[in-house]
Amino acid sequence: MTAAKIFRFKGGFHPEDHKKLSSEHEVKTLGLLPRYTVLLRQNVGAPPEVCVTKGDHVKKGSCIAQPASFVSVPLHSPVAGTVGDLLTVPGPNGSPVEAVEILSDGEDMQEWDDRLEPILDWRDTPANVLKKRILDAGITGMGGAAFPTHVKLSPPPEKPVDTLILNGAECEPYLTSDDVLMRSHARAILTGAAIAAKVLGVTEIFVGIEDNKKEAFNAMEQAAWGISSAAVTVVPLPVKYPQGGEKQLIYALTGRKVIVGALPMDVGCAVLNVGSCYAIWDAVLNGHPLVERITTVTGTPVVHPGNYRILMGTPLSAALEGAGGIRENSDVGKIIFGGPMMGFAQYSLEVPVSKNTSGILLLERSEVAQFYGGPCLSCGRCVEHCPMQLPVSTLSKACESERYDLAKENHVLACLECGVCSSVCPARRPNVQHFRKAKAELKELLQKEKNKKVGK
Amino acid sequence: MSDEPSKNVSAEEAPQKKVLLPDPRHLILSPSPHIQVGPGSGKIMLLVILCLVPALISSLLFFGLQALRVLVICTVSCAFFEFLWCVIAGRKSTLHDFSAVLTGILLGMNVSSLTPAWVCIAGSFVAVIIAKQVYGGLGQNPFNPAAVGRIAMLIGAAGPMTKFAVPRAVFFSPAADALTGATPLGAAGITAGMGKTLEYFNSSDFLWRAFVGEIGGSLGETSALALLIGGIALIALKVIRWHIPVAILGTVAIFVSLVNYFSPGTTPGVLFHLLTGGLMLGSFFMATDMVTSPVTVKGGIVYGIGIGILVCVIRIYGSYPEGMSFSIVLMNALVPLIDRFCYIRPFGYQNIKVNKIEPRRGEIK
Repeated sequence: MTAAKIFRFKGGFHPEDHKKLSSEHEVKTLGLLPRYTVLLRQNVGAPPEVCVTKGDHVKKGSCIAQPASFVSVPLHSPVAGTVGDLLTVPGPNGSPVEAVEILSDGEDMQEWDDRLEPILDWRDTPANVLKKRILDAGITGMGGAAFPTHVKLSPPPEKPVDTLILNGAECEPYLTSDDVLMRSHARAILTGAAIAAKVLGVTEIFVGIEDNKKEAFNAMEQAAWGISSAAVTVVPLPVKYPQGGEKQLIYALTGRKVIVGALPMDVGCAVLNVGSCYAIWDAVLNGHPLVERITTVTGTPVVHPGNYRILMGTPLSAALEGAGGIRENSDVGKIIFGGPMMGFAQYSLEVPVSKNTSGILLLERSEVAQFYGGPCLSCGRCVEHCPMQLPVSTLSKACESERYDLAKENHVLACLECGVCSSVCPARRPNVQHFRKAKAELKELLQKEKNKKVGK
Repeated sequence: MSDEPSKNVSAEEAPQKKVLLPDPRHLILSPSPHIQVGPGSGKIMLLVILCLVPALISSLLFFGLQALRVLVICTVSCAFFEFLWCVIAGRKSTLHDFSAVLTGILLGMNVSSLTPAWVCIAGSFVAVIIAKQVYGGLGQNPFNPAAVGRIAMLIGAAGPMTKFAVPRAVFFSPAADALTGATPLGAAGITAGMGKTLEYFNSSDFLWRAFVGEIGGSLGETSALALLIGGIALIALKVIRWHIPVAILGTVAIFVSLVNYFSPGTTPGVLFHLLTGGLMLGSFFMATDMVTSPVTVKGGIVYGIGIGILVCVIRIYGSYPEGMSFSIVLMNALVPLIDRFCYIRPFGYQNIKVNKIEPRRGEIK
């Protein structure tokens, strides 16, 4: 394999990554709980419809909700047990959401539902059967947004995809779940990728891994040989947040730029997280639906930071208990689902782990950023570090004075919300928050205009 | 402060040892990002002040307690006016961002050690109140406060402002000629055309004096060495970018070389211009003021070149011997325009025309 040319995107930064906290330890499995609350809506798109009723007996991996539309995935029970109530629990994004309660029944909790047969000869299986399996296993993107994987693998005929990109960058500080997965299951991940490549019919697979994960890189490179009929290239990427951003990753590996508002398929690429590829392997070769994931539980207050195999629906409190709880003299200021740059702060310990919970991060009160919004110094640090090369300081001031028209002119809609501009701001301005507000306002405005036109 | 164990969620099947969990009632709930890096505004100002320390020491060395007097008066009165404005405007005191203190120190360094107290106080008033607070305080001012303050002092009190002390002889024997009492730039302006004086200004003896700082002038401007140390420290600490100072100094060097090449005898050489006057102080500490300089690197270079050309034009052809503060303020006025034209193209917008200037539409609401 010749070394691929790497395109460096402008901007970005590398904060202290704290990855050593969790990456050094072996992956542990959490003990089984008496009760799980499986979130109904774990994917982008329509939430699935519940297809079981209270009191039904389910096995591990039994389908408990059916997809409601094309952009939707089924949901499976993480353990064998009885279906409980349809509850409303605190959701990972801050608002209360619906969840199915599963009460496990003790001894045979680990017994798998065998409705999905393992497909051992996947190389000779037609692509649509494989795609059906990926849908049936309820696989979504496991990096962040939880976009249904089968949708990504179904590009419309007018937008042919020729490159499959595996996202192993894991540029968020603290998180190491992809790192340990690549170190321990490189072959499985690449088999999953080969299956996805077969479904897509692509001839080129790129695996992008940040340069600070040497061990994972070596493991993946070794496993890459002869695994797929497509050419597999494992590429070391510059260590720079947000290297794992979809647009930045595509640019780094192929030099193609996704224009604002377009999708990766517009430039002939499909991007899958390494966790999703592992899930594809598990679904096709073992017939196991996606009910479990590796999540990093980390942060200085955690007694045993590390990576844990966690079943979907495990409440945050149980995951923390599994990691030994918090240190006695710690003052936890924030609990975050995801990484410190783009994750969501939690207000309850009842929030269940879902398909895209890549990490549970606890920060000491002193480590938490406080954005008090001082006056902008026009120092240009935000502009220098913006991975989208936006005029952040101008935008931020425009949004602050509610000049959303100016914000739109300056391309606020292109913002990734990666958080770099806020993080580096000396005046501690909440830039990302301003842009979220502007985007929401502009969306509303657009909707209003549309309605007006319809009215006429 | 230690968190008490709020509750043990699954107490019924609790493991042998007690597991502590955070108390959800005390959690901070705010959107991403959750971490921040780099110094805050106040710390940046403090770093700039720290990098001014070598120049402060050199000013005390060469001009003695008179220099200290001027610096203290300027700093204290700038801080006082800032505080006073906050009280009158009914705002929280903004002294903690150290911008007023920095303005005061820069203003003090920009004037002669013989400046009377009332001129210093008046200059501080102009710098803090008129050049900064009237526009809305830190971050809103279009012009560099210290430069505006100095210009006001220079024009308003021309007499006292152009008296310069003879530096104490620290490293060199006192100069025999009478030029030391004035600034070399002033002297060069008067004596331009007289070949002998130009020769003196281009001599290595004089240039060493100017490099170390043992020449007449404003108290913080004279020692190019001390300012260079501070300026390089500023760049190394990543407080400022190197583009603006390098653009200014480079432009001055090129411009002066060209003038010397095409009409020899008009002005002393490149090194003379780089080492004397407010050029070093201005290019490292005043032109790089974040608020009043362009946001982008490209813009910074354009701005630096503009300042460099203006300084040379004023110095060589203008009626003032020195033009650093004038050039900075003039270019400050162009910063919004520079920012507008030196925009970077957003990622993925290669073929789309961006930032076209349109007539301003009405507000959304």
